[in-house]
Amino acid sequence: MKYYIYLLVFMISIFVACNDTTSNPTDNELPSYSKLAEGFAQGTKIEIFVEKTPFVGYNRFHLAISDSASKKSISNAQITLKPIMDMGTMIHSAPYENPLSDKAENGYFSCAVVFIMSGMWQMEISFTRQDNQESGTVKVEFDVAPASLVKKVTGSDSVQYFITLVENDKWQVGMNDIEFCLHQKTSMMSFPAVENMQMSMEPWMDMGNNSGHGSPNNENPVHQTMGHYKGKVNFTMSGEWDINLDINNAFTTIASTKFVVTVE
Amino acid sequence: MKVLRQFMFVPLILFIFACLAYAWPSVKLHGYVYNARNGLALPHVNIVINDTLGASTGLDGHFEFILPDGSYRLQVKRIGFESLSYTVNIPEDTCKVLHIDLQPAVLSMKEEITVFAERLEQDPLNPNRNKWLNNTEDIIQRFEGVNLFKRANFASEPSIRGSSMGQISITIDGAKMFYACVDRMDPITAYIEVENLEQAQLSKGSFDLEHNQTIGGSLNFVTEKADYQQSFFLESEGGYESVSALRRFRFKANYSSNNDWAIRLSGSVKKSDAYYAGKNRLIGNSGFNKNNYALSLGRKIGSKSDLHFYYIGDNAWDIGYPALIMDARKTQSHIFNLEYNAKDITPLWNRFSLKLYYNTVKHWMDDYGRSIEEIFNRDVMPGMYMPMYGTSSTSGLIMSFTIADMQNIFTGRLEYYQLAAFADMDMYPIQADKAPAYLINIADARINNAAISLKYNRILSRQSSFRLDARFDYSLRNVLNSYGKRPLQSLYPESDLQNQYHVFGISANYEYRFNDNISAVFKLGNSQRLPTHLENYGYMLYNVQDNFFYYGNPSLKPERSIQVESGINWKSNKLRWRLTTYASRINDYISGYILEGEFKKYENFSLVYLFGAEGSLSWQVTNSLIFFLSTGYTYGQNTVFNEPLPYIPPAEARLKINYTRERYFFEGEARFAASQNRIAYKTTVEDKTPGFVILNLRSQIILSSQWRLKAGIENILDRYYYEHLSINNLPGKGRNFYLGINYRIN
Repeated sequence: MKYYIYLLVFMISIFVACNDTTSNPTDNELPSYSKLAEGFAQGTKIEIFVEKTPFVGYNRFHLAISDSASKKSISNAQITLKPIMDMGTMIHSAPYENPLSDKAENGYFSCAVVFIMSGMWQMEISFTRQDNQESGTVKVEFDVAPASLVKKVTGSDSVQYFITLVENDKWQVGMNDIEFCLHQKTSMMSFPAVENMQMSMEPWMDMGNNSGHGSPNNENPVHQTMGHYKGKVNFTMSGEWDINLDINNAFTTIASTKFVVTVE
Repeated sequence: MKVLRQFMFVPLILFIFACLAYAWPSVKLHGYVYNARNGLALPHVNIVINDTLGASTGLDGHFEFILPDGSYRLQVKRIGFESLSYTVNIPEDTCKVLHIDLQPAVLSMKEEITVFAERLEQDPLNPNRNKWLNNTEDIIQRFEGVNLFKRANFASEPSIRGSSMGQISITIDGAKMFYACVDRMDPITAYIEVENLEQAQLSKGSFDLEHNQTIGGSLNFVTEKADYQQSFFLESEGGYESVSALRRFRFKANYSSNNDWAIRLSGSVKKSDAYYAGKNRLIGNSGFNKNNYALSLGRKIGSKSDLHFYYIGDNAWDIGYPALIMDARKTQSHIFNLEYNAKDITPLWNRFSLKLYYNTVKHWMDDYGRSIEEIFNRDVMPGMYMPMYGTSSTSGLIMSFTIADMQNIFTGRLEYYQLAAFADMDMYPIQADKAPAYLINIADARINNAAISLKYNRILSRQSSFRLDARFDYSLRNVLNSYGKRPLQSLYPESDLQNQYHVFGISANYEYRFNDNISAVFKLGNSQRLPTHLENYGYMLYNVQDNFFYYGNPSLKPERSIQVESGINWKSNKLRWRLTTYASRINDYISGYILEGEFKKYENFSLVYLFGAEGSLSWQVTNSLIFFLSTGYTYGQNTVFNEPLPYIPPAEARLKINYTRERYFFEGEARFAASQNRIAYKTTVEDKTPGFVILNLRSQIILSSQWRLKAGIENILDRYYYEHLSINNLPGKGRNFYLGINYRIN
């Protein structure tokens, strides 16, 4: 009897033209941030919003600044960050990116920190308001969850590099944008961006027992600004992929590392 | 060749005699012969005039004579049909056209389970060829110029004059059907069986565009329909083959009432173990199981039209593919066909038919049956199981009509079909700490194809006739599965995935008869072939031949071919021979281009060439003894990579001697294949294939009106050999004793 249905479907299919599914317009809504912490100094309130609970990796922070008395939002201020980890015997910082502008965008001053280890971190946010020229420092503390998005590698030039895979919510089968940050450690408190390297990337699906396969059409990450390198990675199938990355200067490979991602 | 030269000498002498005796006649008698049961044109019907002059019909059922005016007695004869006699008067300077319906002979008809005929050309290898056929491959293999790709002891894929895959068209009653397996384990010939079939029609090259845009040739299987003439008929056959312990059984039955409605049922089961190649070498993992069943229903509407429905179902399971890294676990197909036919609607309007069809195929394969060692040691994707699933569904509509008068036959055909194809693959690493992976090989590809084809035959003069074929196709293609689309988008922008084609093909045939014995044929074709859905949208398709993963290319251009063929035919009562040469120049040839690493992408390349020649001869030595010889050679060159084209069969020759006497039929066959040293090593990885000679002996004995016996030995010398088209040099069967017992009642 099933076949009558087939026949019917077949009859219908003759008269029904093939419809193209129209793709949904891309969502242009602002991402919703969640509040991580807040602090006060010099009559100024700083609220720290995050996209995700802090983790070891590249974290974007969105700071909302207001006058604590008038509750008026302040959109012009100079802001600098200083992440600190106190390990008892020593303290160290992490790579970070101060807001690019003194002007808030959509009410936020956006900045970023690459947390290089998990645990309790302190962040000092120093500000200078432009309306009343008040300045001060807000200190907040929060926990950073472990993740494997930052690789610490000592290069063949004896420099310690931090290579960060900027987190992607969802790695998809097919072509994906991929972004890395590259920093080096010059002192416990100084982690400047490295802007003059070349990267070569090879995705590899390791199926165990010395077997696996790569994928074609990948685009090696190329430096943009502030130690950010952007490229394209092609995942031919779902599953667990290795992303092998070489950091090269003009002459040779300085450092190599591998990230593992799950592709849906 | 020396033997051939001697035989060519004979027709030359006859030709001279014929010329001396020849006087230009003044009238022409021509006509068409049809099978009264189903209205199909009947080829190979012998027409004898006044017991002296003879001719036989071509594939279109057409025959013609050029005669002085007068009165003639015509005898129309064909094996399996009731003979007819006519007396015709032909007044001066006229042209007489006859339409003859031949009734199938109840007793002998069913001997011809399949009737073979080459389209547009006479096949000298015709008589008695179908007395031992076991499967559809046996049918295809009997055509001159057709070879098979072998991957297993199951369902081989045909190649016509060195063209294969998307370059050739395979249809069932003109209906499109598509394989479901991305590794091409299941050519659609796997889904029909000998007992379903009435006729296999082959056209080589691009000279018949009725069923498809093609540059390589087309193979159309005509199924056997319910018979209004047979009130009751039952035939069954059991068989055994020693080389693979194949056990098979098949039956067909027909019942009709009042010449008004009819029902036909058929079915078969087969079970084969692993087979032995020559020298007693067991080819492990090469068994299979299969069954097939068909129902056909016919109802007459008035005297000139009928409505017909049929269904063919097929299942196969546990099919070993020794040449590949996976085996087919299960295949399933359903074919539905509903057709309305009318004939002799008006004196000019001869025929009209409307057909609706739907077919669907599901195919599962995996490597669960392979040893852990093999999985760990294989070249591609070792250390994991990778079950794959594929499905294709095709629905379509065909409307065709024929208008004919004395000099012109015009056939038009409108056609639409839609293909929906999907395939995917799981990967399960054997090492426990590795994650599984998944990918879609065909992301629900849709091909919507509308076509119009026109065929025009015209008899230009008493000596010459002309045929024109034209076909226009519009094809709209896309992939619909959004998940499966994404990886394709890594290679092509979204806008490129949807693609449309307009292709136009045209061919012309001209035949000139110098006299009753000798005629020449000249053909020209300018046609295209559309990329397959795999070539457009396949994703990571593994090719076992060159160890590359292939990506489809939605922007592929159609392959374009300009072809020419010329042939000379000689026939007399006892002797027939034919020589044909052909050449094809292909632009935008579709082949893999190395993307990087282990990945290839389909691209167009210009130019490639194919040349070839075929010769055949049949000689009726006595009434019971017939001698056949056929030979062919194809040369293919890819000028882009400067190497031979891949998968070109070597020079081959077949020599057959048939002996038929009353209840006995014997056939001795020798098949010679030269070595093939012209191999492709850039576009794919081939290796040289040594030549071989295979000897076969076949027989049929009619024990009584109910019982008959089929027996034979194939590969008598037990040669260990493999065909050039055998994937991974899969050897052919060793010495095989087969036996079949056939029982029929009616």
